[in-house]
Amino acid sequence: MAELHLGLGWLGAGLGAGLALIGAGLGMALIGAGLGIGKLAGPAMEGIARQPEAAGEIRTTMIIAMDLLQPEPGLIFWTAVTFALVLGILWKFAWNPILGALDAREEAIRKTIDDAERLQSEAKTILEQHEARLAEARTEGNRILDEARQAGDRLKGDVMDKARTEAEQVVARARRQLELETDQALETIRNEAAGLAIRVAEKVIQRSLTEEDHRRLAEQAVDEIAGASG
Amino acid sequence: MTAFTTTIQHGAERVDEAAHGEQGVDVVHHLADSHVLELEPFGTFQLPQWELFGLDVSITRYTVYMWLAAALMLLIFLPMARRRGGVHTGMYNLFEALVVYVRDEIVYANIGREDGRPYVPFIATLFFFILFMNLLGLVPFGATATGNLAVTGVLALFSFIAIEASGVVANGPVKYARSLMPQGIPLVLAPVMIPIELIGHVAKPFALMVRLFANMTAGHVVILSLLGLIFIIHSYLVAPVAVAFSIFIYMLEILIAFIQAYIFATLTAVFIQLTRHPH
Repeated sequence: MAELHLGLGWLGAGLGAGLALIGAGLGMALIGAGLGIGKLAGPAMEGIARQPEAAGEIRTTMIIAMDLLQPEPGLIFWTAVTFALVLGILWKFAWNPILGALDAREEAIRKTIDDAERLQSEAKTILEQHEARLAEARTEGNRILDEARQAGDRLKGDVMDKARTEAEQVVARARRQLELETDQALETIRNEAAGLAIRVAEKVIQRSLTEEDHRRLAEQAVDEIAGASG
Repeated sequence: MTAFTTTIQHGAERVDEAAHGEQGVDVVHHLADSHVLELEPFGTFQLPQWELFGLDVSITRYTVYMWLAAALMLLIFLPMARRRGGVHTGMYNLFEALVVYVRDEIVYANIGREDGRPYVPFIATLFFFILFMNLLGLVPFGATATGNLAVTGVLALFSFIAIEASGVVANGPVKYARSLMPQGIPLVLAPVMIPIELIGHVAKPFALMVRLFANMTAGHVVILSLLGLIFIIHSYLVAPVAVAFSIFIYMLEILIAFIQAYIFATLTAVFIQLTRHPH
């Protein structure tokens, strides 16, 4: 609507200014036409004067040529009407919609490019954020892994210590048991050996010793045994 | 007045004989406007002759081709304005490229992006109207309406109005009127300076009018003269040379049709900018 008002104002102002200067314009046009026709008619007159018998030919040619310079009211009228109509119709129904569509398309293209650039920069920011977060996560993971390793090491040391202690205890207990059993075995062996020796000695001595010897020997043995065990 | 009209008709008959008889080709006949639409071999059509307020407003050959140009513009640009979104193809892209060219290279380049926007419709109409009329003169049976001073004069008048209006709109009436008398010049010189400035304002559209008319007429004169050589020399041997040269000039004419439309539109934009920013 503002466009139309501008157009009308434009036209009104134009008509005003035009009328102001149109006098000067028409004057110029008249001078031009006058000069042209004079330039055409002068030599034609000279030609007719020089060759009166060619007057018809010269006049015809002159008038036809004059046609080119003659202001033709019909053509002026129709040109003005046609141009004004075409200008008005196209202004309202063609140029403004076409120019509007061109502007809209250019605006849409510019907006699309701007959007794409904005989205790209946004995507870049997001990517950077994600990379930063990823790096953070990696550091965190390493820290956790280190801690776990340390904890594991500590645990392993504890377990080994405990196992070693237990093993030592087991060995010590086994050794004590062994010593006890060895002592018992030695005791048993000593007792057995004494009985066996007595029985062997009885057999040998019964055959070769006298009654006296028996006695003496027996006393001697009792003494010895008593001495050994005492 | 009646005697004068009779002479014109008489003259026209004589020229018809000259143009289509054995004497040769009449160049002026092909350039002059007429009440007859010659579409040989399909026939010759007499156009209606009208009067309005005592003025002869008959439909002439040039009027018909001017209307054809106007109709082409409406047929091309009105459907173009209704197309929305999607992928555009073919003719649409061709004319959109031209519209964008007029907008960017002619209007925005000279007046500026923000200031130039309101002038795009006027200059685009001017450009395409002149271009289509120029090109219609190059099709068979066609007539170059822009090869006539009345047509180019009216177009220049519209340019003139647009140029002066832009000065009034941009600077206000007071500053616009003061631009006719440059600053810092003694008041004694006003009687000299103001007419000079006025002539300067009028000379610009006057140059537009003559430039377009002369350029469009000259090409046709050259083509017709080259073809006329065949009839003047009376030899078939001349024909290949003359036809080859006239085809070359014809190609040049296609280029000139675009160049002249471009120059008319560009100079209008330049003059608008000059008037908007007076010295």
